[in-house]
Amino acid sequence: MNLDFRQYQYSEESRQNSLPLELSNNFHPLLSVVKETTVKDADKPPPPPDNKTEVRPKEETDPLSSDPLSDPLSDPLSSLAFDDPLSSMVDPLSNPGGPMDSSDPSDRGRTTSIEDAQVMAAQKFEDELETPWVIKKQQILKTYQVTSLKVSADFMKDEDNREEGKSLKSVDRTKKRLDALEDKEGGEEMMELTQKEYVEQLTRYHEELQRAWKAGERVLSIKIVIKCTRLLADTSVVQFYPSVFIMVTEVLDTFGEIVYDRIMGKAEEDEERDRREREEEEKERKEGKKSKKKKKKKKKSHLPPNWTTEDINVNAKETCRNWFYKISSIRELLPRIYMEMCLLKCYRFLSTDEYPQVLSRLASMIRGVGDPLVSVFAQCYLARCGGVVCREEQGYATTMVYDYLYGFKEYETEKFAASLNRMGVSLEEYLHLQSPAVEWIFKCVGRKAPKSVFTTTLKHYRDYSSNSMVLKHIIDCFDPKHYAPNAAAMVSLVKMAKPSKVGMIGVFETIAERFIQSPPPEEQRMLVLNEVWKVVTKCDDLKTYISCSTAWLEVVLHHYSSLELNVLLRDVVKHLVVAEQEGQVEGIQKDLEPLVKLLVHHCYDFNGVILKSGELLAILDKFKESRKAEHCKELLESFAKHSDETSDPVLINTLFEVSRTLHDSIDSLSPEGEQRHCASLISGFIEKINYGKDFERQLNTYVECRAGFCNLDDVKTRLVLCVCKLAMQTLNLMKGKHNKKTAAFVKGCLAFNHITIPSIEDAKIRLDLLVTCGLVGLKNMCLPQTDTFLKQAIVIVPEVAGGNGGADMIAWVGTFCGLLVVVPGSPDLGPFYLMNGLQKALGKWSEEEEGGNAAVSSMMKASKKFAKSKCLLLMLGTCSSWAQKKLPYAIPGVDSNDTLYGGSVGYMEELKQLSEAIVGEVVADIEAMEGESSMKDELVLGLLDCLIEFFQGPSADKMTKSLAKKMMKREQEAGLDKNKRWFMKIKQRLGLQAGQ
Amino acid sequence: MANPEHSGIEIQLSRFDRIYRPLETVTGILLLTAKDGWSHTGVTLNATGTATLQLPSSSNEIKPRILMNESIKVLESGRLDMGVTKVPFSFTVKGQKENALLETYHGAYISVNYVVKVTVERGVMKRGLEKELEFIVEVPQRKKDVSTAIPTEFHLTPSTLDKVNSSVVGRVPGFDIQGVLHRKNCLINLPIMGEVVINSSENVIECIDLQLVRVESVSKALGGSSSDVSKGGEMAKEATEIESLQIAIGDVVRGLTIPIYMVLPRVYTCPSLKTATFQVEFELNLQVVFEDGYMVTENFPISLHRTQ
Repeated sequence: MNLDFRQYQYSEESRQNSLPLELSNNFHPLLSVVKETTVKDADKPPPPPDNKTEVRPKEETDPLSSDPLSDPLSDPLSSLAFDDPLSSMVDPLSNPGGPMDSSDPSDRGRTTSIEDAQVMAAQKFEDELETPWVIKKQQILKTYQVTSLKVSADFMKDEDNREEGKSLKSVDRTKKRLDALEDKEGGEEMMELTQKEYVEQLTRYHEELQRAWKAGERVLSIKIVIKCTRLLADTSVVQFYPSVFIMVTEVLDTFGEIVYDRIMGKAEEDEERDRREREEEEKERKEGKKSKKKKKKKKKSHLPPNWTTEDINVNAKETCRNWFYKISSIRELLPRIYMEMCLLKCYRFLSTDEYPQVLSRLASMIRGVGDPLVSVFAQCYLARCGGVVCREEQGYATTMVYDYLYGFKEYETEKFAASLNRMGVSLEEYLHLQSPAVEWIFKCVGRKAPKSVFTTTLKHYRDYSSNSMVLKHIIDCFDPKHYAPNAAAMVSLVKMAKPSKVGMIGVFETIAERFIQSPPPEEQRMLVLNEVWKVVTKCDDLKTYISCSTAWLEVVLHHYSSLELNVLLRDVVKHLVVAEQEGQVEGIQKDLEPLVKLLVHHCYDFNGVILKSGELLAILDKFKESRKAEHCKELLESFAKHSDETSDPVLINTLFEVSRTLHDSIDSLSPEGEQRHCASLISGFIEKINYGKDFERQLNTYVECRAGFCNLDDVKTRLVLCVCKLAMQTLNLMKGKHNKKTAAFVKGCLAFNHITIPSIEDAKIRLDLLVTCGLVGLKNMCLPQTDTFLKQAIVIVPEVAGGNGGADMIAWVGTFCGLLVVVPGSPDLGPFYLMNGLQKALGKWSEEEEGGNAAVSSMMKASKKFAKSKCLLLMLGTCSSWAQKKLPYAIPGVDSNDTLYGGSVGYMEELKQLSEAIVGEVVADIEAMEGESSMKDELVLGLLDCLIEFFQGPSADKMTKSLAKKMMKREQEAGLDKNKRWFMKIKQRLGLQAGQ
Repeated sequence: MANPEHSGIEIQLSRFDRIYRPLETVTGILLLTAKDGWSHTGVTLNATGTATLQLPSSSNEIKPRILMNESIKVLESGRLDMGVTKVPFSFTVKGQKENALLETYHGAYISVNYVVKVTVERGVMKRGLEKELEFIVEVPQRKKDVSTAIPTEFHLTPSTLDKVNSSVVGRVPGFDIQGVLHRKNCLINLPIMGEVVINSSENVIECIDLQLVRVESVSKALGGSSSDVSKGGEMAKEATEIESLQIAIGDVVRGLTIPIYMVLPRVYTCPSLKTATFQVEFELNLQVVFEDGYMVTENFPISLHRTQ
């Protein structure tokens, strides 16, 4: 074999082949993309030079610009900008991410978030007003529970006289029965039930109602419902009353529903059609047709979707009227009211516009209920049912609110105190029981209420009630726009309110939630906060304190300055510390959660004042390890989203601590995804550290990071790349010429990488990093370091797994060979020792056994062998470059082989031997491959390509011809022509060469 | 047409609620179902209105008073084919000369009802067929009696009690109850309405009830020889509670206006009725019951009216 290298004039070729270039104007569609990505591009290592283009136009500019390490005050990036061809388009770079000199960016961020917060708060307010009953119901059932309760024995008696019900048809007898039912039996037996039994019994009633109704026993149904409603008059176990209310009204709702359906059924009957159908049926029956198919066709409703009373037939109307007559004759007040309320929907059959009247009549009928608790829950049910049938109507609800507030004057009487005593509850507890009902009524009134209603309500409140539970609901349910302008007055109203289970602090919390949406007027803000905090800070109960603080913190975040924020934060931490000393923090984490979430979300407002103050970390310390880690994650996420690059040491230090916490929460057992997520968060933080031109400090920070996050390979990888970037920035700053100091610094950087890379577990990543570092070393003219990196890379090649069927390795070898073109040979070991080493290493790599069963292993082996041969072909490219008089590219300040050896005979000879050895190995590999395969074809074609492109002379031609012929013949025999175009090219090339 | 299993009569009136007023025409359809077909000697329809009276605590029968008696021949004698024959009919609601029409009413001792009765004679050999259906007559009154509401105000304190000895009045726990009944001359199709306010009460209030009482009176003279009927004379009275409603329960808030509201029950009421020999009147009682068992009652004589 005697291969001669083909000679190329790279620059000439490039000139001939290049297309005319034109700078894009400002309207280029990709321009914005470029802007965004430029910053990121900067961290990436410079593109490997294997793509035969000039790496970077590093013109020799005046290198005497300031030494970055001695003059950290000058802006490095502005000078850097001249180097960067994209700089004119890249704004972010000219506005350094370094020291944030003004509060501008964060303020901007905050302003928008004020509006967002207001919109969100308003939305929340709306949502709360619209909370469906179903949800409220569950809350009430959960809140009001007891262990056992006494009920009359009658309650447990099942309805045993069902049969009787059937025979009772005449109204007289119905009435008699009802009367009998309502007569209180003297000397009631009492029995004790657990709550569970009570609930079960009510559920039984519910089921029985449905069963009775299905069986057509209307009277029994009414009886059951009345029996249930009667439970609502019983306040012997007040603590459970709200829950009883819920369960009973469920029965009532069902009843209302089935009655409505029944009347609806009648309304939808079409008499004429029915008669016709009946006649037909009759006929069929008489004619003896045994078509027992009872076509129970679903009668199509002939009612229009927006039907009114005029669409309803007489029959249905009469039935409906009868129901109301029946209800109106129930003797007892409470069942009568409740029954009518649950049937409210049916009034639609009788008239269209009577609802306001009916609702207001019912509202005033409830005044007849003396027991305040029973009364307010009846009002609540009316508000609920009224809301369903006539949402817009609010007059009756307003009446109920005024009635309710008026009733407060009774609470001061001795008589009432005595009855509270009898029930065994305090007034506070009693009001707490009323709370859910009051809330619902106020919601009904507060929804879209005009200011006048609010003012009157507040007046009634001041005249009669003045209780914090009521005030809380007023604040909660009315539009804050009504009271925010008088915020200070509202605050003093809160202070004056009489106590209930909702303490003053609780009311302050509520009002704060509303202030987020409608803040107090500018001139009142300080006064309001001072007044409120005077009280809140004295709060003994940590939970209450925390949840109130959370609400106010949010107000302060949106509508106050960082000054107040700091004061508030300090106060919170002070409380926590005191509590900790007293051992009260157990179980407080759950309550702290919203506070932390809020702080984390806003931690970059006011230039990160929350983070920097350290208070947040102090609060985080109160959490358990895992929960703390979660918060740290959120913090870092929030940082990544909201913050620019920073050089603020306090901020960096705080975030470092946060990242440390997160890092320490990870161990070898953590799921891989979790590790990766954390690593990417920490990496995100590291990338935002930017000390500007203080490179040394930057490197020191990286060193700290490496020590701090040593368990996360992804982070270490990121650090290596960051350090590479740092070295390159230094070089750029020095305009390509290091002085002594910067050279030493760059060596330091490389040393950092040299130490860091081996600690990364994944060999493939190490390989990539080593090549990158090699390039950086070379560009910075640190030849020994470059050598070390590249040698190290070659050494670990055999360790690398044959990922992707060897494709990863092929790609890497491509990069490596590209770099190798410009790497100068070693004075001791010759110009090609790296290439030789690589060839050997690849050989070893392809022999390396990998785990798995025999079949998999042999397949792996085959693909690795193939990959190795492909790699060898790539190496031939480098050899070809070396054989040129001038290399296709060069690194400024570095003498490559073309300069060093100048194409000396010995050099060329050695290169030839090397190439022949490589070609020989490939040929041997091809021959060693058994049978025919696409792999083999690919290799043959690849080799042919190399032979043609890189070599010349008879020996090369001969080899080409014989290889090509063999292959063409085989293809012809197989009748394939998939590589026809390929062969055409070869023929053409050979023809030209050989003159054939 | 198929042969029906039984022969029979069905009466259908044009109005679903079967309510008619004097001088209105009642229209309807007879459905005559004939099995195998048969001949008849005529189909007659009688519409009669009777007032039936009874003396309380007396088992003596009093001859019912005929208020209306209309008779029409719906079909002349002939033959009905197998199957259903539809025959329309109509008659006018009008009273006898001497007795004006009264409203339909079902009381304990007095009742007024109107019936349509259809009779089919089928000759000597076959059983005749009969069918009855009640219809309801409402008699509106002239407007001037009821056009303006007559409200009744009341104010109850210990000193207004009439069944308490004046010497004891001082010892009765204090109360002050005020209110109004919006109209004494009630309209039968509208609820009775009013207001009551407990201004003050030393005792705890247990409940406030509203009681509707009906008083039926029948002349005792009717029980004896029937010769002296027109003169009337002494009446036997019987009061029945026909509805009792709680309008308040528990110790209600002082000073809050509680509504008086009662829907008049349909079957047990009728416009107040006054004839020489019998009458139907109504009273309303408002009872405030205290926890200690004492009770204050205010009685309101009311009259019920039906308007045009």
